[in-house]
Amino acid sequence: MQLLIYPLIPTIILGTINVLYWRRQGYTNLSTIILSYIAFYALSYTILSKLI
Amino acid sequence: MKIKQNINHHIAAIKLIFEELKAGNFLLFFIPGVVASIFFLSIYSLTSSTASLFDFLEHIPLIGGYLAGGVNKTFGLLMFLLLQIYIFFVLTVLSPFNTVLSEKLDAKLTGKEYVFDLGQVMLDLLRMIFVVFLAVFLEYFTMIVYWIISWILHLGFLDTIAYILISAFYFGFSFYDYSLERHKQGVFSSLGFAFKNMGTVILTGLCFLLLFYFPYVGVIVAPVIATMIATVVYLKKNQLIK
Repeated sequence: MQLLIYPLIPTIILGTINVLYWRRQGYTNLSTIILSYIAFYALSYTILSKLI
Repeated sequence: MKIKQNINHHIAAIKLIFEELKAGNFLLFFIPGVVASIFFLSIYSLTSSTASLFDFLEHIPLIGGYLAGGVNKTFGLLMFLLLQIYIFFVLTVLSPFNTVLSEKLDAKLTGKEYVFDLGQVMLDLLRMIFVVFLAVFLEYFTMIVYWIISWILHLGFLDTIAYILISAFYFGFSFYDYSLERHKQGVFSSLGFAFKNMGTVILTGLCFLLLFYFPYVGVIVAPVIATMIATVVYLKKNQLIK
């Protein structure tokens, strides 16, 4: 359960900063935003799965 | 006597940590810090270039030096406050990894396994965020109170030391919270622990700050080592390990 829920924190923080940055650059495509959150979740999940 | 005991606990903890790291244990926990350090470097380069935008002020005759000095001083304070927020932001990003690290180290040293249910994990998640926000808020509040007292009593010469001790206390608190959370202590009883054991908490926070200010590797190394120190010291303080 920890493995699924804990990656949410880095995903929300890093994903939001990433989205804000790209919005400032003029990129507002919704699917790209969702994809970036999925990418951060996958990254955090992979790292955490190695640690637990 | 208590100070000596605190220092001994920290020295023993550092020795134990280096033995573990030398044996190749817990090395993977440095990986999340590598990701955070990339963010740190980009933010640092951005803010330093903003400060250099005001370099032209120095060339204004007569008042240029004063203006540039004022801007630098303001940026210095702003950088310090932003750095505090940034460190807490890094700690929030790393908190799930640090929780696992603290739990694994505790299990290795005490042999006790911790089992979590869904409700517990959800509460932990909310607590990780809440504790960091509480620590930032209280740190700024304490700094403002100190700043007013310092301004009234002309304690300007103590400012640097006071700011370092205040930030060390709140960083230390956030590291002890991983252990306190596991031992079923609420957020406010966790804060109570920090105030009761101020020396211990400040010492751990100082270890963190000392490591954090190492260029480039600080962000990677400091959170991991500080989490491990806080876990070992907490166990030693409560006589859960020798």
